Order: sequence, then C-alpha cells, then structure tokens
Amino acid sequence: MNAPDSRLHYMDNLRALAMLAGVAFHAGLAYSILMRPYWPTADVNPSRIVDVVAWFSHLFRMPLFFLVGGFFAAMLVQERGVGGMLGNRLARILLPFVLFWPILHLAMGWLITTAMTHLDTLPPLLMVVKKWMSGPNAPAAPPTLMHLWFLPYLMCFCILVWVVKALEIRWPSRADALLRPAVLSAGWPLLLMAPLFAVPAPMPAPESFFPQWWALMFFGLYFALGYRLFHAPALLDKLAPAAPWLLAAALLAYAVFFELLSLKSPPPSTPWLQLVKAALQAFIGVWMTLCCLVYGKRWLNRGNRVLRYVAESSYWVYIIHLPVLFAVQFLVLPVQAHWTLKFLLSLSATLFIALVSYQVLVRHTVVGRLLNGRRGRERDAGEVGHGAVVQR
Amino acid sequence: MIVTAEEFRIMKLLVIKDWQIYQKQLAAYVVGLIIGLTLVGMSKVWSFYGGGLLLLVLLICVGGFAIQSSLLNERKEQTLPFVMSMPVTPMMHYWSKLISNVTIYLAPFTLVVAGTAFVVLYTPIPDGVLVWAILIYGFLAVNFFLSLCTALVVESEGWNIFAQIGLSTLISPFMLAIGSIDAIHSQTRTNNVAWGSAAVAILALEIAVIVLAIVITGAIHRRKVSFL
Repeated sequence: MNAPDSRLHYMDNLRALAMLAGVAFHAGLAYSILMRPYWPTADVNPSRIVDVVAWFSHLFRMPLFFLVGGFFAAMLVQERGVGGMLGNRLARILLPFVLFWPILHLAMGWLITTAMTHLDTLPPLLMVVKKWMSGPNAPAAPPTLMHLWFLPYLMCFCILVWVVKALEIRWPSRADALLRPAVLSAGWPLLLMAPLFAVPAPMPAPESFFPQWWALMFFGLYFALGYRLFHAPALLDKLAPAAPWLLAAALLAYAVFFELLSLKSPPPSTPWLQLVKAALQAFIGVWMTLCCLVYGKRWLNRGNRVLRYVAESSYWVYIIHLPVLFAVQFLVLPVQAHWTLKFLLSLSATLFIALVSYQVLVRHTVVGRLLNGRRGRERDAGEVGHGAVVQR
Repeated sequence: MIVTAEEFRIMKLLVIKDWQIYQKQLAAYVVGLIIGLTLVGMSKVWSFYGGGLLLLVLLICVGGFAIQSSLLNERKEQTLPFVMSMPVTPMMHYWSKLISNVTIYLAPFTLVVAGTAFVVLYTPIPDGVLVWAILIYGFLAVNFFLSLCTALVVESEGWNIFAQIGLSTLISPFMLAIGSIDAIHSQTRTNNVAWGSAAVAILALEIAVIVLAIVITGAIHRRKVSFL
C-alpha cells in the first residue's frame, strides 16, 4: 500500500494529460476523414494523418482517465473512508456537472444555430441538421451529456464503490494472483472485448443521459483496475520491462486496426470482423494504458510549478474547451489554408482562452475551489495530506 | 418549531443511524436503479418496458422497505425503548424518521420521474403522456407518504401492512380512473404538455393529501409528552 506521505505526481499529471489530449482530439476531429459526416465543424480539407493520430489516442485516452479515477477513488477511501470519498466526489464531479452542463448546453446550441445562420458553406452534419430543423413539426433533438459524459460515469463508479463496500463484497485474496503483468496484458483485454463488440468501431462516446451498458462495463473495468492498482503499487515496476514490447505490439495492432477502419470498400460487417475490431481495440487500449502508466511513472513523477499548474488547470480547460473550440473553428472554417495551420490555430487559441479564463476567473476564486479544492500554501502545509491527488 | 443545535445534532445522528441500518438494501436498490436505467437506455422495445417496470417496482419497494426497516422493525425488535432512553423528544424522533425516509425515497423517485420526462419528451412517444405520467407518480408519492405517516402514528403492525397493501392495490384503479377522464386521456395522443383544470386539480389534491398527512402526523406527535 502507498505510504501516506507519498505524492503521486505522475497520476495527477497523467490525468491532466489525458484531459488535454481530449482537447487536441476534439480539435483534430474537424480535420478527420472518418468524422467528416458527423462532426459539426468538419473542414473541407480533411487529412488521413489526423485520423491515424486521433483514433490511436482515442483507444487509450479515456481508459487511462478512468483507471486514474479508480486509483484516486481507492486513495480517498483509504484516507477518508467511503463516506468521505463520496462527499469529495459529489463536490468535485457531480456539482461541477450540474453547474456547468446547462451553461455548456445553451452555449453549444447557440453556436450551432449561429453557425447554421451565418456560414455560407456548411459542414455535412450541419446541412443535415438545418434541413431537418426546417421541416414541419421537427422534433427537438434530445440533449446529450456532450463532452462531460465522463463525469456521470465516474460518479456512478464511485457510487458502485460504496455499493460494493455496503454489500461487503470483498476482493478475494487469491485474485491478487491475477494482477500479474502477463495476465493483465493478455487476459484483461479479453474481458473488454464483450462491451466493445456491442458498439461500432472506433468506440463512440456514451453521451446519452441513460447509462449505456457497454460503457459501464468497459470503463468500469478500467476504473476497477485502477482501484486495485492503488493497493498493488509494485505492479507497475513489474510491468516496466514489458513496456517497450507492449508499445511495439500496440503500434502493430493499431496499424491493422486503422487499415480495417479506413478501407475504401469495407467488407460487409460480419460478426467475425466486428470481433476482430473489438479485440484489436481492447488489446491496444490495455497495452497503451499500461505503457502510459509505466512511462508516466518514469518521466512524469515530478511536481514542478509548470506541471502543477497544468494539472490544476486541466479540469477547467477540459470543461469549457468545446464551445470555445467550436467558435474558433467556425470562424476559420471559410479560410483557405492548410489543415495543419487551422488545427494549430484553433487548438492554441482554445488553450489560450481557456488558460486565461482559468487564471482570471477560476484559479483564485470559488470556482477553483469547487473544481480543485484547496491548493497552494494550504495544501503544501500538509493540512489535506496528498494535496492535488486527493483533491481530484 | 425552533430546533436547538443540540437537538439538530441528535436528529442528524438518528437520520444517519437509519441510513446505516438500511445501507445494504439501499445499495441493492442502487444497483437495481442502474440496471433499470441502463435497460431503458438500450433503445429496444423489450428493454425499455423491462427497465421501466423494474424502476417502478423498485420505487414501490424502496418506500415500503424503508418504512418497514426504520419504523416497524424498530418497534418489533424493541429498539424503540432504547431510543426512548436517550434525550430524544417525540417530535425529534418524528422529524428524524420523516427526513430519513423521505430522503431515501426521493432519491430514486426524482431519478425515475426525470428519466420518464426525458424519455417522453425526446422520443416519438407523444409529449402529452407526461401529464398522465406525473399524475401517476404523484399517486405513488401519496401512497408512500400515507404509508409512512400511518407507520409513524399507528403502532399495530397489522394495520400498517393493511395500509401499505391497501394503498398499493389502488394504483391500478387510479390509472384506470385518470385514463377515463377525457381531458387527460385525449392529451396523451398529442404533443402538447397541457395542464388542464382536471389535471391540475388532481395534482393539487395529491400534494394536499401529502401535506395534510404530514401536518396531522406532526400534530399528533406534538401532543405527545412521552413516547408512551
């Protein structure tokens, strides 16, 4: 078990990187060939390079995030008990969701409507939406969780931790034998294949307000692994020698997966093909998540000012990035320029606006306390214990 | 009623005690709720009806079990005399029971009502069904509050069981009754969420019954100088 005074910066930094990678992922989707029919800011000049990078990160970015979430949940349970963990999660996850979702929902609705009114050439999705909305008696589109979908799921998993504790379901001591590098990298993905088999590849974001069983199972397994990992800290060191091999295997598997995704005339979807895609996604996801943990521990286990600032601001940046990103991308949509320029411009403008707003509106205000809890001197004084990692 | 800080602290302890006793059942209900909501979200006819039915059954069971566990079992297992030995007045006992049971019930109740509203408003189901559904949920809430208030004032286990079962048997007749009111039934085929005078009157009556039950039960407890 982790010593009470150890600060696990790499977990905090990995969580922040997963969130910021989400911002880059969403920025990239505007230039994705595969997402062109479905993304509201789809550009006229998409690139295959974007697809190669974006879908690779998509396979392990959120799995890594949920694993880190499970890890922190276990840490909170150890420090504050289940009630304390639930209270902390309600304040840091559910309350921000309840407060920010309506604002983001209105902002996104306004942005889409404004874009449909003012843009001369609409992206394919907005053309469909505009046509649909102009029809008589067009039903209202159901609101979705948008990019905040991970918050209710994370909250749900934390509630399930309480359920497991309340029902006195214990982790069998013999099951610890399963937490071995070989079993984890070869066996764990098999469990993930079932939920991935149920959804089209690459796995979609479960944005519905109703929980999706595949997402509960898929991300829940990662959360559970993270929870258990907290109680088996030596596991990462055991995994370290295998990490280069896992990385190589994941890249190789991804080459096959991407070829299947981008076939110009794909074979008719058969259960076997779907099974292959599910297996590839499951193995790539697990291998890359484990690699991120190993390399994160090796290279990101530092708590300097810059990393701490990034870690503390990432939650706010992620929450507000999508409407900002859409606004910027709608503005650059008519501009004739190479996609790399547009991508870099929209990403950097979004990050700049989000970070400035963090510094001005969040860092030293009640919103900052809401998202990150106490920080700075208070925390460094050891009043809270694990500092940043506990606050999230 | 002015509650002192000490009285508030004791009431809080009593509420937490009830939740802790009820924790296992509540945990099982939470699992049921997640399964029910997931089934509804699968967008298949069988899972939609299965999930909806599961949520309704859970809603009825949550209330019944909470009352049974926190009030009736307390009397049967002679826990009440122990509570009586503490510095607790009948009113403090009454408020703590009311708060713990209502909180336990309102959590799933709110989820189910919100889920129903979402499904009705954002699927091809006519939006007018919402009024009909809310009146039925209102009746379920009336049932819960009447059962709870009965358990708070009537000590006989037999009468309490009679009240709970009797009220449950009224659900189907109530559904039939409001279905036969044309002003409500005709709206279930349209996309207008129209609160006509009949619907408003029924909802107001449901709320009035709940408030009246709480007030009467509170008045009975206020007159008590001891638990006996």
